[in-house]
Amino acid sequence: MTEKRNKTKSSLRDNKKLPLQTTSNSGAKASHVPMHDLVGEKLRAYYDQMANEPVPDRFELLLKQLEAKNKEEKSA
Amino acid sequence: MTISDKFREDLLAAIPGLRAFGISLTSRTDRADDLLQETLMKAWKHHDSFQPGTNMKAWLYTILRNEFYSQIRKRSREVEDAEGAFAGKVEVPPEQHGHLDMADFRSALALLPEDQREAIVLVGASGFSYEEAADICKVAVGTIKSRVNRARNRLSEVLQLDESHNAKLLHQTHAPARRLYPPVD
Repeated sequence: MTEKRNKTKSSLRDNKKLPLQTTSNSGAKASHVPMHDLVGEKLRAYYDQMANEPVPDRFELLLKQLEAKNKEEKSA
Repeated sequence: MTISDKFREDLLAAIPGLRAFGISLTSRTDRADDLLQETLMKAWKHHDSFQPGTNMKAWLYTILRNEFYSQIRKRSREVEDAEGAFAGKVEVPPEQHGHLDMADFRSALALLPEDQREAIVLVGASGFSYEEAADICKVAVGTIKSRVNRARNRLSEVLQLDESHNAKLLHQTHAPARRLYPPVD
């Protein structure tokens, strides 16, 4: 419970700005222990299916629009 | 400040994983897509706060996660727990006839508190180390580990994946999941 409260509090605070760069442990794989049990298997199957779903076009379109806007602003 | 092609390409490449993370958090594709849209726009707008060469994936997942909690707070202000999914109160246990499909798994995941759900997804499926997940969730590594363990135990209980069922289930999980997304009401 306390843990949950703390988390909510910290995400409240953090959300006011963009996350700071995650630097300290990025890339550290030391304690990456893949879950070899059935739960881990099911979870990965579930997740991989979602990640392999076709992504709606709107996101690629959005990036293109943002890029176009960016170029426009630069040339203005 | 120009936005490099690399930044755009990396952003594009991260979309499927981010979307899967969003669906895992919200249990809903439409909400996940809203989260993803916000995430892409924020990442684009604040591209200069990203240092090239550092972990872009972790940066993006952090943005999406923050957006998720921000929307929960917004929602709970608007409607007092109208839907329950966010509060982990969806009391729809997966069907217990031994056939475990993706919809079952998603319902089981939705039963977990958010902090456990995000922990097990980041570590167990998104490919982050405990340290990276701790960075993303802004908690200690030990906290992530204990959340992952609790999530794993709960899922195993709800899905009846404990030892006594293992042998049976191993033979029954080859049926293809017909649909990934049940109709949303």
